[in-house]
Amino acid sequence: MIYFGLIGLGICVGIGLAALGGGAGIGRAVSSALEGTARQPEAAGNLRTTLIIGAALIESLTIYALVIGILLMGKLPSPDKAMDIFAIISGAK
Amino acid sequence: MSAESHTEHAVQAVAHQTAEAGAHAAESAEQALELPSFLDFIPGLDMHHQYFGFTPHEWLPVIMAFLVGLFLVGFSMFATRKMERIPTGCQAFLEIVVETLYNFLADTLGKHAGRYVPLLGTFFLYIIMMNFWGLIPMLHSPTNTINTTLALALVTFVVYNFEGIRIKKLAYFKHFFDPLFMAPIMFPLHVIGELVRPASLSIRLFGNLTGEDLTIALLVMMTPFVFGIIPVPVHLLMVLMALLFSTIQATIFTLLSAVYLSLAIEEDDH
Repeated sequence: MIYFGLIGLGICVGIGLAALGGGAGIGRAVSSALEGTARQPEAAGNLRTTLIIGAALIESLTIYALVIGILLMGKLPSPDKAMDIFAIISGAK
Repeated sequence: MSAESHTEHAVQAVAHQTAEAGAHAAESAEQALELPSFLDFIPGLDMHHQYFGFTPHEWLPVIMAFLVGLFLVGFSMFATRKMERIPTGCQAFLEIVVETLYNFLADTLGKHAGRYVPLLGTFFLYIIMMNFWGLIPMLHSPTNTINTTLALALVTFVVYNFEGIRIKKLAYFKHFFDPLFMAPIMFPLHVIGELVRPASLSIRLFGNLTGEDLTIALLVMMTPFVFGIIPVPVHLLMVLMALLFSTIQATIFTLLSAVYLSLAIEEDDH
């Protein structure tokens, strides 16, 4: 029982932390891109390209956590099967 | 409850079940929630029988990738059947695409651009077409499995190592041992850093596409119904976002391949 609970908890905490880190990183990148554009509007095109590329690279770290989450989600049973397992554990004990 | 609200309730329930049945039709034993493809509507196809060693669900990305290739080749042949000096129509569109790709990659590649732009341009066009393929109903993106993206990343890996060894001969491996006295510590780290490049390329592309497909399938399952019968296609907003992010991911793949290639073949004679 604790096995499935820990898997579920692990998935959620993992993806939550990855989203936190990704959000912080991309927030800093966007803020400096905005600041640079405000200082020099004619460099806006270059800054935008660098921003998009940087954001995609930072986001790929969050995607790694998502892939691990999807991998772990495949190890969880469906609710009916889980009820059967718990019934067997508590009934046959 | 009055009779009208009772029937409304029943109609809504049936409509919801129909919408969910479409999404559940292609759900395999694992947690692969996705919309159906045209293979689900072929009458004689057994989903659990292995045709040439693979189930139809495993053949699907291969068939889709083949169709994408056919489409690209067919479109190019159609657009260039009568090449004119001053292009019009489809030929003009293709010339814009090729010239944009060339200018984009010439910044990174420098003077070797002419040699590598065909490969990197093919990467870009193929990947962006594969990503968009899945947004068409009844079709799936081949890039939402790790198999396709890992194949593409391995091509990049082999090409940049091969070109590095071809141009710099055995001096290509010198960067592993740069500070020689630190080599025992830095060498494993460098090797891991090299091996993680194709892994990160493939997982980035595959993860993004899987996330998009999953979100679209979930939104299709949760479509609200106006008056109980008329569905509101809320998943189209996610399709719009998927268009943007698919383009960005194709650009990132091509750009990173170009950067790895230029790093491998650079001759530091500043």
